[in-house]
Amino acid sequence: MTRSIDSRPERYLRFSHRTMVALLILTVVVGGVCLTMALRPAEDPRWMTSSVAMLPILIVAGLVALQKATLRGDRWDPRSPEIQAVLQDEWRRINMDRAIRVAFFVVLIAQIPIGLLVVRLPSLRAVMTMATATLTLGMATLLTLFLFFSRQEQDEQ
Amino acid sequence: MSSDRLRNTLKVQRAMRDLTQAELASLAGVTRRSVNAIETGRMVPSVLLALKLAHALGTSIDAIFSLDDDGTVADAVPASIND
Repeated sequence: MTRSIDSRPERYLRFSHRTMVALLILTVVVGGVCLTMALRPAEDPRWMTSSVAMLPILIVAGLVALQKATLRGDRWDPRSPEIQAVLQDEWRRINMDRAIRVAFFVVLIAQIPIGLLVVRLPSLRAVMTMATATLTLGMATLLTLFLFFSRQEQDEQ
Repeated sequence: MSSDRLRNTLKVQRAMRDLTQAELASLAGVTRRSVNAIETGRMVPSVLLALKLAHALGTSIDAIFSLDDDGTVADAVPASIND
């Protein structure tokens, strides 16, 4: 049975998935920039600091573009039953729970290598670097695992 | 995680009613991915979702889900007991 359906729930599902991918990319890029700035503050290129200031505008513009491209005119209203079905989906919640559990342990274990990485830095920069690295790693692991667990084996419509 | 494997006839029941995964998902108020995950044995649904699916198909839970007799260890992910 392979009836191709491009229904509203499908579009909401796709939008939710693409938002997660966009969030993962954003986390890696922003985390990478912040880590570079924390580790080598003297070598900050001007574009890095200005791009951080532009970030909120870029995020909003990206979200609007993603919404227009994926939802094709439909609104993302969290109260609508179709979006409630996507947000409270059991498979989604199970995968998020699994991803949170694994990401927690990854972050815990990573504290040792991250600590060794910043051991020679001044204390304030060491704390900043550890916090940035932990947040970036945690978020990136969480989102990657969630997307991995949510992958589909069979693309039947 | 239960040591029994949960078998399901969801795909057969769905095909008998000429429903797609998306249509069944819409009737049960979940996404197509949940239906797909259950059909492919990757997910053990909660009682609530099992009831919703049975209701959407106009049948009983027993007609859709049953336990394997051999007690093989399942690799599917059960829904959280907190759900």
